[in-house]
Amino acid sequence: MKFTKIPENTFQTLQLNAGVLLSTFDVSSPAVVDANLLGATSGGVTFNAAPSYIDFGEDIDNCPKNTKELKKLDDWDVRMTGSFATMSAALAQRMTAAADLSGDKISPRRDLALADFKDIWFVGDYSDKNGNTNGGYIAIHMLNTLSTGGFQLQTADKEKGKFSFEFTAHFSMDAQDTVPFEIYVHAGAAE
Amino acid sequence: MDKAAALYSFWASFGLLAVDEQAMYDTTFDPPEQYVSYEDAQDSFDYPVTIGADLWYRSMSWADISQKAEEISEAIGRGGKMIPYDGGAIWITRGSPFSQRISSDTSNDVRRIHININAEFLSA
Repeated sequence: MKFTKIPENTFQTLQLNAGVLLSTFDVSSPAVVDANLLGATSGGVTFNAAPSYIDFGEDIDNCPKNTKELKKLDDWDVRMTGSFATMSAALAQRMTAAADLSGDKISPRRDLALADFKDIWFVGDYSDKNGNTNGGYIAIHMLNTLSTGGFQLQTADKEKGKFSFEFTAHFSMDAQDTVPFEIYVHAGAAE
Repeated sequence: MDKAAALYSFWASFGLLAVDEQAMYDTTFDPPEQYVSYEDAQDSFDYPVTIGADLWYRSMSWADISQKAEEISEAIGRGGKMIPYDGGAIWITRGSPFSQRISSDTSNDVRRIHININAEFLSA
């Protein structure tokens, strides 16, 4: 079949496994520091950076819909969703968003603080070179995330509890032109 | 290296003689004290296959053979292992159950552990 093919470099450009969620990650010295892992996830995660557009030609007579010269990027909606299988006090505070942590106690607030917005990194295996030293990765850096899904817990008989999450990245007044996410695609090298 | 050679190189990387299980039916096959036999099953991108293998140790103890099964498990790791071949790679992950002790019905000094892996051949 002439058009039933896959690229020859397919095996070198696949993202593999569920990846990890980290509070911080150094792309110049990529490593998973255990203390930076937010928790264990279940079922993988979903990242969605969705642009929204305005069609300035939409109300102009005789102008075709979706004319590229009149299309304007309005905004970005950047979210990460999934479920945690594990929980800690620090993660519970992050998922509650507007909350304070004192010892084992998480106390929700009715007002947001700037400190409630924290960066999150997704990092997953990438490429055909996946060794511990030079393994490839796809990393997504979400800036100023807030838990917009709140704190959720779903239990079930004879099953592990699941904590569904939704984190939304936010712009900042300090850097209004900085879209709050970055993507790194780094091929691995031989060990 | 073709797919079959890559699969062989994986099983041969653990310091044991690795034999395609079809070779065991050869009447001239003289089993050594320790070896691994494996199924040679292949497919292509998006069609992972389950491949069985067996560790065989002539011993009264399960200690050494169990240690070898653990060594293979650790080598594969949680995320799997890539074995390159010409134009692609095999992505090997642990099957379930990964390992299982099996008693020999012919000899009480043969220890056998059956191993399952999942293998996806990342090419056409």
